[in-house]
Amino acid sequence: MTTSIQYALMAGAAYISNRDPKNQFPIPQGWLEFAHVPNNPDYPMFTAASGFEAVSFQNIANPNEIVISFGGTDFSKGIPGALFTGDF
Amino acid sequence: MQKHKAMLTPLILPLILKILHGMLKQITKLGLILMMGVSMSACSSTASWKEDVLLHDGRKIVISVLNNLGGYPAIESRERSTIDETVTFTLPDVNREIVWKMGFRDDVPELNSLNLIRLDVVKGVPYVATYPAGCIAYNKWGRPNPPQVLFKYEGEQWKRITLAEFPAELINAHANVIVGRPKASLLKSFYTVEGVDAENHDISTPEYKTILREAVKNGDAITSCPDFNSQQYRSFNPPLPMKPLPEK
Repeated sequence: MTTSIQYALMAGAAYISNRDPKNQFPIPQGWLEFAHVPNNPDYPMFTAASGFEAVSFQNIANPNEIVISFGGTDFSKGIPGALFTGDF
Repeated sequence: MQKHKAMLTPLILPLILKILHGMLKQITKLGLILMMGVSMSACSSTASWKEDVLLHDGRKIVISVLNNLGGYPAIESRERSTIDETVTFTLPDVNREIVWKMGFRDDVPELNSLNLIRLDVVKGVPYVATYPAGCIAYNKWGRPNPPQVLFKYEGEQWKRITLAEFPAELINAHANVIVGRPKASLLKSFYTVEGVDAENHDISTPEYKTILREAVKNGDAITSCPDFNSQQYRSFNPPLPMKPLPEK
């Protein structure tokens, strides 16, 4: 059974692009990280400029359990940009 | 007279309401414009300062640093992100101005986002040592280990060089410039050599303050960044095979 702490770690682990490695969340034990966007050469439609970021996790004990974690608004491009693109 | 007043009121009331509505719309528009103005000016600020840089041979040069700043990377951030950094200095003996400019936007494909660790001049040639700022930059620069990117100023431009091409006297040398940017609230206009050392005092990760000869082991700091070009991160297929669900 996936605990709230594990879900919280996976939610935080979606923030890779705009965080220094020392501030990134660890992956919970028993889970594998895969499929990251943006900057994925196989999926160029997910551009970093869009501000969208997501990563997936698979439960090692139960490979049918997949968690997809999305990042929220990236404020580094400035609030007005987020306002005008509806990124809120 | 009383009847006249009673007839006039229904005519004037809609007119007053219309005027008030118009004024309210104008005030709302003005408020929005003012809000946008404040936000935009807040997102186009700069930070600049000068530093004394102690070269390996004991000479000192002064560098001017200018950072163009963006917004806050996360809602809890206290410091703005850096859009780009320009470092200007005069080459000793020949009085020539040299510029190091680095962008920090991860959403562009160009190679960028390098934090300066050391700037030095050996036999009249400027060299800089940097490290990639963040995982996207680390992957963009090809995941170097030691996780540092080195440059030599040659032919009026900065050219990336290998560790073997870097002057031996600079290997294992420590940072002689402020690594990153001082806190906005504590920013000074000028930093002496002691001031630069004080700013770098709390950096505990060796690759962020020392030019390393050996590769970093055990995935420390930036070398622990996911390899976004690996199949694991590129593919949308889960790494482990999924089990078929039992039929009901």
